[in-house]
Amino acid sequence: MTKTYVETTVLTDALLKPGPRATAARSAINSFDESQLPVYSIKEMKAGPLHHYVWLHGKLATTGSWVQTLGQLRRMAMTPKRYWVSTAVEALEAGAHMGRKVTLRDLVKKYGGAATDDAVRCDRYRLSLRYIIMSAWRRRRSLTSLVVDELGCYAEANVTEERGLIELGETKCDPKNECSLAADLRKNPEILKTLKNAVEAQPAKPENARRAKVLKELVRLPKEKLTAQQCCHLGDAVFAFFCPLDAVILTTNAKDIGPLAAVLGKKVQGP
Amino acid sequence: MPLTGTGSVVVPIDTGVARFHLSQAGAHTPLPGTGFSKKEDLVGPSREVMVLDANGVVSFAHKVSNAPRLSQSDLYPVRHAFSPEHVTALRLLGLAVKRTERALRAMNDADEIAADIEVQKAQVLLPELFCCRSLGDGFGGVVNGLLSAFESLEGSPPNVLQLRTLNGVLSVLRDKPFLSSEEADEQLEQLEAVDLCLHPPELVKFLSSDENIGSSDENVR
Repeated sequence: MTKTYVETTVLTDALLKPGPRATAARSAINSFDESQLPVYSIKEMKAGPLHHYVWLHGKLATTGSWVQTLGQLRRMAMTPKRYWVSTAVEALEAGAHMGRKVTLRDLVKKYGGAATDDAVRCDRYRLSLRYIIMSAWRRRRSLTSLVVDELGCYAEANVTEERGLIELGETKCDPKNECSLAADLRKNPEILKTLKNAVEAQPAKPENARRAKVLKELVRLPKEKLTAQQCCHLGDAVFAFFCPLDAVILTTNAKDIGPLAAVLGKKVQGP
Repeated sequence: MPLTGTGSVVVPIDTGVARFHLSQAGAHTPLPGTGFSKKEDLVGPSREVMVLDANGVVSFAHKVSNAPRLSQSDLYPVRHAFSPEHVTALRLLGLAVKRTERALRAMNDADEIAADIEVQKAQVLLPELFCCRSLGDGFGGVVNGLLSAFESLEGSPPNVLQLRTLNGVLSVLRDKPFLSSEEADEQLEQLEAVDLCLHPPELVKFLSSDENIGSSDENVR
């Protein structure tokens, strides 16, 4: 019996990337006899990609203008976060440019501002994003055959709509004492050490430095409480650690997760 | 405000007795061609009135109005009822339903050209239908999905199953133009189920870009 452990990037592809990427991700998930989705993936998808989609939807809803929203996207592309980089924005601009060929002049005469290219484009993107966001949330737990590794400190707050904006609710954990993964992680200090060494051997990136530090502290200071923020920093290590030995980690990020899984005798696979 | 075609009078919102209101759910007396019906509803609104008795003492009493009223929850759906957008939407949707029905008949007769012509005629109605989106986000969402579905076909005619679904969705929208966003999602899921893309192609390209959100550690964590 083949099993897979679905990582955040594949969950995101399957639910938030319409078109060929969603198809590939879903086919990959369905190619296994059993697919397991850890709640950690849901948490990461909500706090990351879904959060960004909600930002874009909100911009479209509040400006009512595609041109103004595009300006905000361009500004975002220049920040260190670069959620939407320039080439991706260019694809949208090209689409918008093609749309201008279609004459809406007669409709503008009849319907006024609602028929302008800017307003039509803005509302079409907003309505599409709304559907993608709401259906992604609705389908998250039915995508795989099992949802596993529930997180006691993470309330999966529902996604709702208020006054035309999408409300994600709380996206972070709220541990009463400490992160609910801490106890299981501490049971295997040897695995934590192995993972720490593997992370340190990876290219120097800020997230690798943060991950290695948390792993080191879990081993060195077992009585220290693991915070929600530290749990977020663990990221890839969580999947390598918790994936069952007889399962394959399904991810588009094999470059980063692969080495961590390999040192624990586990495998990764792309869609 | 007189309500055309019913003889009823629609009185502005109050806090009370609603005798009749316009609704699409639980129809009792259909209003032809509108998707609305007259429906008996909650008893409610009353108005507080000042009463001056013979001794000059002022008191307040609740006067129950006999006039038909709208409840608050009904205001939104009917706000655009009989607006130019509503009337246009019903007309265009009626045409689109008929076009897709003719296309289905032509397909049954193995006349692919005739079927495609009917589909084209249905497709060109959609941009104007989208201009009627003040009817609600549910309406706008479905029309956006239909526009994108046709765009995603890139000129190819839909297959029988897709055409049947398109016809079904158009019929639902004609019968219920003020559908909620959740009801719209159900219609969109039907289009998705027959492999029609529901989103503008450039948005799909943007959201699926490797450099876009959700593809790297940096973005997720």
